[in-house]
Parts: sequence; C-alpha cells; structure tokens
Amino acid sequence: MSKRLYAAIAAGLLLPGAGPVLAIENVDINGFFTVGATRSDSSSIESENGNISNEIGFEQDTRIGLQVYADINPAMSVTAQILGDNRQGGSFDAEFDWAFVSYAFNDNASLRGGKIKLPTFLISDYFEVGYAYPWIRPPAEVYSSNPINAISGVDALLRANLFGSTDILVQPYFGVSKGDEALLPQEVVTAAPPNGLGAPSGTVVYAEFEAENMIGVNVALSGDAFTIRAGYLQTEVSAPDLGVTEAEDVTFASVGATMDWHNVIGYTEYFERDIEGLANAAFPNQKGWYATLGYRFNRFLPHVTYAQLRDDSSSGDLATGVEQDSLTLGLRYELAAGAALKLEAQRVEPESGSRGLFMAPVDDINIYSLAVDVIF
Amino acid sequence: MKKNVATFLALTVAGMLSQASQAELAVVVAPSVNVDSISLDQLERLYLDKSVSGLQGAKLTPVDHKQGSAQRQEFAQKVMGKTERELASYWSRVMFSGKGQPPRQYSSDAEVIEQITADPGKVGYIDGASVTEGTKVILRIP
Repeated sequence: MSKRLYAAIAAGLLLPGAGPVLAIENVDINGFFTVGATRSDSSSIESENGNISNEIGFEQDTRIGLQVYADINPAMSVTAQILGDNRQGGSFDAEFDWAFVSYAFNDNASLRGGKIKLPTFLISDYFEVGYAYPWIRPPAEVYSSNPINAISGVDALLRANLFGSTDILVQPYFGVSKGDEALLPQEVVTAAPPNGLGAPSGTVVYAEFEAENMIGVNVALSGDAFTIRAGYLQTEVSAPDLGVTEAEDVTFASVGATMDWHNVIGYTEYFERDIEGLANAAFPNQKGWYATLGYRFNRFLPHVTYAQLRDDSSSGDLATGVEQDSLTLGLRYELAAGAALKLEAQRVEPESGSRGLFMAPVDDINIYSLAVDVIF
Repeated sequence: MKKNVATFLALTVAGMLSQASQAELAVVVAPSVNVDSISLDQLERLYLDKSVSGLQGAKLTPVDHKQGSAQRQEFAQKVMGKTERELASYWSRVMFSGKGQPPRQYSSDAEVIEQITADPGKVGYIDGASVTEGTKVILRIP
C-alpha cells in the first residue's frame, strides 16, 4: 500500500467532517456512522426491540448512513439516504430510509416528493444521526410514540426571515405510510387469533400497519440560540395483522424547544396521541415529555434528562398501557469536528404492572451505553 | 528613541505573528457579477444556506474551503462566530435532514478563484493577498 493511501486513510479517520467524501460534478456523498455498546443490569428482560440485554451488545446503536445529493438543474435536486442498522431487532440490514426529489420555486419555497422522513419531533428528521444531538438515543418516552418513520407523499418547505436572525419554517405534508415505514413493536398478549402474528405470548414482535390520508404540518421558529417547534397530524390507521381492518382516526400533536445559549444546552418536548375505535387496541392513547439540560465545558458536554411516558385515556384504553419514567446522565466529548464520544447511564422505571418499553413487565432497570458518532 | 525602536520591533514581530493566523480575508466574485458589496450578516446567512435579501437581487452560490484550512477556520470565527466543530454540528442537522446542502469545498485560494471566474454567480473568500486581477472584492474582513 502506498504511503499516500495510508495518509488518505489516516486523514479520513482522523479528520471526519462536513465536507463530502466524494464530490463528482453535481453529486455529493456524505455519511454518518455510530458504533455503540449497551448493557442493562436486568437478567431476564430485554428492551422491546430485543436489542438491549444484560450482555454487552452492539445491536441497539450501531448503524451507518450514506446520503447522496445530486443537482439536476438549479431548481431541482434529488436526495436519498441509505441506512444500515438493526432497527427491527433483526439482523443488520441496509435500505433506503428516504429519497425525494425537490423543486425550489425560490430561496424560500420548495416542494418535495417521494419518501420523506416524518417531521414529528425536533430531531425526527435526523434521528439516526447520533453526531447531531447530545444523547446516545433521543428520549424513547417521546420518540417511540410515533412508530411512523417516513411517508410516501409530498411536503413543502416554506421559509421566511422574520427579523434579524429569526427564521420561520412552515412544512405542510400529505401522504401514506405502510410496510417498513410503519412498524409497531407489539406485545403479543395471546398467541391465538386475531393477532395472527404466530409468536409466543409475552414476546414483542413488529407488526406492520397502514396510515392513510395523513395530513399534517410542522412549524419551527429558529434564531441564533433557540428553536421552537409545534406539529400536528391526523391520519387513518388500520392494522390487519392486529385485527384492525377498518381505518380509524388518529391525531398526534407535539410541541418542543431547544436552546444553545452561552454554553447552556436545553431540549424539551411534549406530545399527545389520540387513537379512535378498534385501532386503540393496538395503539393506546399516550402522552409524554422529556427535558434535557446540559452545560458545555469546551469539548465536554455533561447533560441530564428526565422523561415520562403515560397512558392518556379518560375512558380506558382497549390496549395495555405502556408507561415508564427515566433519568439519564450523559457525557458527550468532542473528539474532532465531526466526531463525538458519548457515555450514558440511564435508570428506567416502568410503572408497576406495565412493561414500559421492554419485552415484559420489569422492576427498575439500569442501562449503560457507550457510543462513538462520526459524520463524513 | 531606543524605546520607540523596541516598541516598533515588538509590534512588527507581533504583527507578523498574528499575520500568520489572522490574515485579512477578501470576499470575491467574478467582475461581471452585479453585486458590489455584501454585509457580514448577509454573508453569514449565505454560508448557512439561509435566504438572503438585498444583494441587488443577485443570487449567489457560496464556495467554501476545505475543513481544517486556515481560511475556513478564520471565516467561521469572523463571519459566523462559530468554531469548525459547531459548524459541523450545524451541517449535520441541516444536511442529514435533507433540508440543505453545505457549500462545496475547495483546496486553495486558486481553486476558489477558478470556481468563481468559471461560473459567475458563485462567491468565495480568499486570503487578502491572493486577490487577482480577474476578481472583484465585495468585502474585506480584517
């Protein structure tokens, strides 16, 4: 191997960053990578996706993404992201997470069509890009509540500069979600029909469902030191696998804010989801929130997060409620521009009798995680 | 007098030392581009892929230097008030959410000049000492 190649490899490993790996005329390729290890102190219970157990495992957080951006002409571009991970508790697999064509009417208005990441929360758009946020995993009490990952449809990005450095983004969208865009970790209460999943009682499997006529809007106000956002969506959900053959109305509302002000880092979000009719048997009504506070000391960012997930039903859900609280202490260390090392200790307390976000009911559980995030 | 000479020498040496890390940057476009000046605020928004008003209606495409280069570190600090680590964090959120693309990066002042002259409509920044006949300086950043 030539010296130059060694140098190139060393440079690639040591100096990752925002510059594209490859820039052919009109095409940029960038990527992100996380390698992460987890271990819990529970001898019997695993996380609901089967990825976190009491043995050191790399399944939960290890993933790679490649993003390809191509200019077609000054107004049109195509962007696609390929993601390889263990998302559904299965083996490592890569697929297109999203891909869309974008048409810009001007600097402030563009239309996108294709498979689009659903902007449910502050960081849903880049949920897999660990480098882009402080935690190893965004708080599951909130981020697990919308099992829809992407929609096939259209959205518009409408921006305006309100004053100074304060900008607003209004993002209406419309589409459908099905197949691997919409997977629900479903507790198998009984192996008998109608669940039809053929898995033993007490385990968790991923059930596909369909969300049709999804219409929603994401509004974000951002300045130098803060972003405030709110979102609302409604859709009609059916899940034949789970015996829900009629489409039922679902609404989902969320608000959140983040700040990065004089080295003080804060994130907070709240959501409510409401599911009508039989679909409620598969998806209980929920509400949840979290708050994160951190302080940046040069390359170190220690942070603390409290999060809560609750059933939100006045008349009683058909489904078993999934409730838990968690406290997370984390530390992020900047290795270089484009690389971060993270450590986390998390205490999760499912409500008594609830499985929380685990396979089955469990007492309080501690989860320890370590990850390295890189973008290139 | 001796004291003055000593002060002069000290200032010169200090000046030379700071010259190495704090060179003047020049923001340049092709001479045919219908923009004669740009503010720091407009420049910052342009390089963060945010809409820019003014600029005599011209639409400018920013051209960047390689991450880690002296020019880029200085530009990030002087124009955006950010470190390159903070810029990497910003672009990771914007780019990987599919909402914007960072400016293309080039290896030298000469490559940046080549880009802006070959494709009027592009804007770049270079070391103040690298300004050539074929470029128009629209802002000097001391």
